[in-house]
Amino acid sequence: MNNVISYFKFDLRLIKESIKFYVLAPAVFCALFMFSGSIYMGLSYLFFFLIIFATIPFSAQSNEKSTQMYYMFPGKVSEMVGGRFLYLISITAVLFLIDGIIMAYLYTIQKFHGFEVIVMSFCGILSLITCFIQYPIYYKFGMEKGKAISILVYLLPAFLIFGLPSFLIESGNFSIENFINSLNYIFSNSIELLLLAALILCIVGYLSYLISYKICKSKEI
Amino acid sequence: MDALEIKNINKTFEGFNIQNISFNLPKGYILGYIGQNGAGKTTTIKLIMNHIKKESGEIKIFGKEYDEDEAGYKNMIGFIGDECYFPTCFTLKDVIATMKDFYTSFNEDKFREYVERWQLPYKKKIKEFSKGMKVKLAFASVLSRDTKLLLLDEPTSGLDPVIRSEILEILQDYIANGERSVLFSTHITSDLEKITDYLFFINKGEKVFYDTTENILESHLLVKGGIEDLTKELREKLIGYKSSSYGFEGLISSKDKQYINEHLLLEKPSMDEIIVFYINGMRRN
Repeated sequence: MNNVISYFKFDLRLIKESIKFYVLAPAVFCALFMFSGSIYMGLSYLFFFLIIFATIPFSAQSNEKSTQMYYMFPGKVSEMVGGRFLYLISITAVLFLIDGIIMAYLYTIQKFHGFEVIVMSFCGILSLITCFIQYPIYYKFGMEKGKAISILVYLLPAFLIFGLPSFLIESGNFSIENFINSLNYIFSNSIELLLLAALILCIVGYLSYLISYKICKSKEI
Repeated sequence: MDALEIKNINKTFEGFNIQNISFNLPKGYILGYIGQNGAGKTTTIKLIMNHIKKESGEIKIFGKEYDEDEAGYKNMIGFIGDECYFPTCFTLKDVIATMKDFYTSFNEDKFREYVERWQLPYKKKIKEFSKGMKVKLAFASVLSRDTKLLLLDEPTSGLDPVIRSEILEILQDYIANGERSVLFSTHITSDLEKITDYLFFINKGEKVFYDTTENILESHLLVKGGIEDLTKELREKLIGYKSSSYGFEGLISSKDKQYINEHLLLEKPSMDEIIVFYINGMRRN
């Protein structure tokens, strides 16, 4: 575990220069949304920036050509990958905490309701799943090629969002009544669905770590 | 137990192979790993560090293979290349913090001693360092912790003679206790003659020779003579030669001395000449 923390600290030292700019841009962006009245958009963008923050160590590692250094440290490859995942978990915790505090406040002053909380939670979970999918891609292909391949990851949900309704309408299974029923189902089982989503998140996270580890273990630098 | 044992390692690349490389480096000695650019020197070092995976063969450092104890294996190695491997956005403060995190044996006072001695700036980022400073930093970081085997991949190329000489002295001090060893890859052969105990010459991924430096220097002779003396018989015995309208110069094994006319000039070759004539001979064949 010590080495995992050492790798995590090394990541932080490596990104400390660039993170200033990365933090400033989303902070201004989200603040603008919130002050203009679109709190909802501001909070969801904060989750979106998780995907960007998650890639900073990869781009810093690539820019600084320090991959060899990572492999030279006296730690196991599993610890090296563990350090990077610890970074992801840490920034996720920070962003979830910020979003959580704002949502709790808005909920108490009744500007937010159950529906918004559920949607925002799913938004956060989806962002983290996207990060988990990206990590093995960046380990395998590096930052440059990885970016191009990651576009496919972003396209997949877009394809589902736009393709699914037309598919359902064409197949004759879609109706407003069914849609409302589905929403009611979500509302009445929100806790169970959130738990299921969290379970899926853990499984995806673990698989992402395992795949990343295998990629790094067999990687030649 | 040897510091480094390499047995029949093989690795295939597109257009280049490492073929059956074997050698041993005993404790307390320096091995010079020599060859032209692209001969396979860096590839061998990367294989030792497990940065590239061998297809077959065995690599042991102080009796330990990489897979037996990944972290322990890496901890024994101190690597210095011709480029700085520390992130260029780091200052010495970051280097110290990183070294402390990863190496329990890291001695900060010793590191600071080297930093003072070589006048490395604390506040500047590594990207502002000169090439010489970067190499000194690499040496300072490696020498201020407990390593057992130094792997040096042309660290002195591009350095001025004063720093090179200082580094050679450091290497001799490093092995002085008889428990540590150095593999020194370079094509600056004058450095090798001064400090190496063993030499391994690699060309196109294959071993050309491997012996003690003393044996290698003593088992070769430099022959000089007129062009009329370069008979077919002599040409066959020469490892390599170059000729002009005035005369010739070639390298011959000491055991073939009897084939040389008495009036030909014989000299002790330098390491540079041995290497040049070996490559010359291989090109002719």
